[in-house]
Amino acid sequence: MKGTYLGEFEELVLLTVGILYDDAYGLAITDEIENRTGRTVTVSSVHKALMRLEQKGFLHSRMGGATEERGGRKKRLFIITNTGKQALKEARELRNEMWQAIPKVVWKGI
Amino acid sequence: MKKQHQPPRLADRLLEWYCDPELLDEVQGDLYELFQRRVEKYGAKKAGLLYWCNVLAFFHPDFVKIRKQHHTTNPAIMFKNYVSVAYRNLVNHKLYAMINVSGLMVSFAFCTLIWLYVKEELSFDRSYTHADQVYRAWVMEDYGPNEQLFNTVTPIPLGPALQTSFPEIKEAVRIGSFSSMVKKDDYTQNEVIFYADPTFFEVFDAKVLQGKTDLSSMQNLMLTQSYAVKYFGNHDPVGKTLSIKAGDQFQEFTVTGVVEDPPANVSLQYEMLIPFDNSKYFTSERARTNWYNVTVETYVLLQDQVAVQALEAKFPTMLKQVLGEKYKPGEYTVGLQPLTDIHLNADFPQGMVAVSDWKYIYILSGVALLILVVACINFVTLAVGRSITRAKEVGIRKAIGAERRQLMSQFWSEALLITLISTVLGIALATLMLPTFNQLADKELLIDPDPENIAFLSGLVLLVAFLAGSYPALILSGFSPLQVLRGKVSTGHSRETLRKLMVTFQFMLAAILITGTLVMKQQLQYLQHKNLGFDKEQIAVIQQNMEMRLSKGDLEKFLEESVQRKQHLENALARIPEVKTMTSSFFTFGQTGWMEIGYTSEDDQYREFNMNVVDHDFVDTYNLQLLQGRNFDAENAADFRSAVLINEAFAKAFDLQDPVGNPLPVPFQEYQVIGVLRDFHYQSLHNAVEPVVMVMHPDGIFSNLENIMFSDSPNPKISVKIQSQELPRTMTEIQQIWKETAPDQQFDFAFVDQTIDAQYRAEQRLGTILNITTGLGIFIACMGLFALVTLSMNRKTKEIGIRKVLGASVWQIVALTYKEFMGLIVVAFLIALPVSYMMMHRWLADFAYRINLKLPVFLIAGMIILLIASLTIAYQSLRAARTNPTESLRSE
Repeated sequence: MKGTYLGEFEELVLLTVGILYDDAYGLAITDEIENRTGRTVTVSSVHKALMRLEQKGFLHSRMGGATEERGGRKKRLFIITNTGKQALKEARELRNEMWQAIPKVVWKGI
Repeated sequence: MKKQHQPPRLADRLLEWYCDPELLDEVQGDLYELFQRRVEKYGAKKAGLLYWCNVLAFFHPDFVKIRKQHHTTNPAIMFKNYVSVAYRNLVNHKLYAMINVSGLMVSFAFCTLIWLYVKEELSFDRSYTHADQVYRAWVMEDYGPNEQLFNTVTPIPLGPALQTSFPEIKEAVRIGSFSSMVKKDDYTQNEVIFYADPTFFEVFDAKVLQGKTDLSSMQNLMLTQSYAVKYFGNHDPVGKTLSIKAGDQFQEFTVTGVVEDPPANVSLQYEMLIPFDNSKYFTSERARTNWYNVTVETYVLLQDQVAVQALEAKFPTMLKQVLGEKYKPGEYTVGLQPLTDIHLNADFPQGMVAVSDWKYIYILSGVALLILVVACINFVTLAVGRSITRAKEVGIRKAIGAERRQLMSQFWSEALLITLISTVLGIALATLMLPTFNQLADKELLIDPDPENIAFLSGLVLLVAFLAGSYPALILSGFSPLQVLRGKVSTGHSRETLRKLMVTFQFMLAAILITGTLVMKQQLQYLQHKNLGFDKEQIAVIQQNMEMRLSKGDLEKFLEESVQRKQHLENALARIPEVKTMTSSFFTFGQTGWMEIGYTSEDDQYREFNMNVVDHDFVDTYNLQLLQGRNFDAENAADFRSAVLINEAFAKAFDLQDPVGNPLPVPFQEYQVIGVLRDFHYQSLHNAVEPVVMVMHPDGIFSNLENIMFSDSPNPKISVKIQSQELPRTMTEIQQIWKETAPDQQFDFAFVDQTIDAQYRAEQRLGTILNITTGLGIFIACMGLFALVTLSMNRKTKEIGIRKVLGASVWQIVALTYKEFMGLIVVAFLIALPVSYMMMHRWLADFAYRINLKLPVFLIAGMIILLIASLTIAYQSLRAARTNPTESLRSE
């Protein structure tokens, strides 16, 4: 289905939301991605990705948790929807299939 | 408590501005967290910098676009509500609505009329195809101080000379006019006929309705539409003939074509046009060849892209050629004035066409603008005055969820509604006032729905609605609901002074206008009742249409004929007892002036005096006073040839100690002074009395003069002095007799006193305009005051309530209001006093004879102002003073 294509970065974000179950908000996700991948990721690109993912229906959000550290402002917390889980699964299966399809010859010598 | 660093305030505000409020919290919160972290790690400065980068990075359609989509609450949906609320507002507060609407209505009516006027004035002479390349020639002769002759009427040879000498000139066209008799079958009438070069229509194109534009042969005649109908009804006039008296006899002219009537906004208004060569019947040989006689207007059509000044610079070369030895550089200059400039340029002398003035346009536009601005200000002031009441409405609307923008559109729609109503009423008012306005302005304006007018009106409506609605829209919509519902709304004290200033200004204007009107009335009355030094009651002046032959050979015969005609009429009228005396003269009274004779005196000075050619009955008919000497004697032949009467001014100016019995100064010494007349006003009272000579046989004067200028037609007129109880009947009798004695002349008469009154027509018109403007000024000033008082009263309801509770009577409270506002009025009047004094002084200086500006006039004006202001204040202050204190103090 067009429009439901999962970009590489989007996949990362989606996975991270899963990892941070119930405490997945913009900054936390950014930190987690940076820690795990070692890439420098801006909080704005993460927010944009989160917005797109929500528009595609892969994420669901709710407002909650205003803290002192945030100057009293609430955070938007994300969780993966069933559609999102499905998309992740399909992506993973696609990856595995393509892996299987590579002839053993290529891997010799690694 | 650890000190908290804050992120850069500006960056934060930027974020708050562009970001969708729904997303703002999460974004801003994240950035805040980050910021604090960075402060710990890198310090405040770097944290701030990185914060900025973050804010800018978030500036992405995803975060901004959604916000706009959020605001698609269609204002059109709410419009119905706004309209009904606005309507309800108007109905519930009829007084305010009426004041607003009437103020705006009057302003709009005025603006519309002035727009039409200005539009037409500016469009003058632009309807011709080649209007931009047409110029009118002018001639300036400069022989030193006091001897400068500037004319826009030009010599006859100029046109052809220009055309042949300069290839830059495509066509040169001359046009002149004369008054003559036109006969068709049995019907004879006096008409003004124009003669023009055949190429006339190439320069001044006109739409041809029948036939073609053809002035090639001498007997051709072009008619305008209305004249074609006048003489030929519905029949095709082409090929038919009219008889026109040219020279001694009637000649047949054949109609070659009919053109559209010249539109109102064109300087050259003609009805009948014949070829230029016919001028030989109306001008002397000298006028046709001489370069120092000015008779006709000369227009040139230039080739494209010709630089006018460069062309003008070449003129002296041509002038040297044609003038020959007489030419001295600087003495005789020819220049070109753009056609489109003629109508409004008052610096050039009038040629054949009447001229207006740029000043009128400026003044009228200024007045219109002023009135509009003032009406808007009054609207705003009233809105402010009512803001307390409206504030509650605003508070509730906001509490229910109205956005500021919605409130703004509501208030602007209200203003628009009121403006639209005012506009419609204003146009209705303008239509009513149109006939009077047209009369005053001497125009035939129409309220047409043509695109320009509609564009103007729409623009005006939008502009006014926007301006007038700005206060409520911007200020009222900003009220915080919380404050409003608690009743703690302030209404801008700082603007109080500005408003007071405006009202003072308006009353100052009103005071000036009132003074002006009073003074002008006084002056006009003075003019109409001043003793002019001659009798003017019941004297009928009958115009004749003789062929003017003033050159040496013809003069004798001409004078003879003139005397004969008068004698003839005198005999015939002898049987009417009401006819007392009659006289025949070149000029009478009530004309622009007589003729001015210029000459060089013995001691080489250029001097001037005025002259009239009369007969021996002139002094008696007009009852002029003889101070010394005697009148002309009918029996005395020498009197006829060489006697003159002079006036006091002449004796003084030419230093004649004992003039009677002595000759006139050289070169007129063949004339002897037989009497000195007391000064009389032969011109309007705008001018002082100048030296005057009255003569019966002017040959000696004509032969020795240098310059002669006719201020009006010198065609001899017969003045008949009547003493009758039933004037109309007497005139009918005279008319009968006239028809018998002079059947080829029309009976064209006017009463001298009426003609003289007409000289002050300009002042009378100005007086009417002033009356209207004064009424307007007072009306608007009162409205301004009313608005101000309303505002003040509304603000002070509590104060008044408390005063009443403490025992103040209604009258004491009214007195309080009075003190506050009368002060303003008095100040306004005091400022107006010197201003109006100066203005009136300057206007009166235009008159050689005028009233003195005395105190009573100003006092009366002052009292009128005070009275009007009092009435205005009275209503509102009484109302406020009577309100029950329990109502105003309820909320405390």
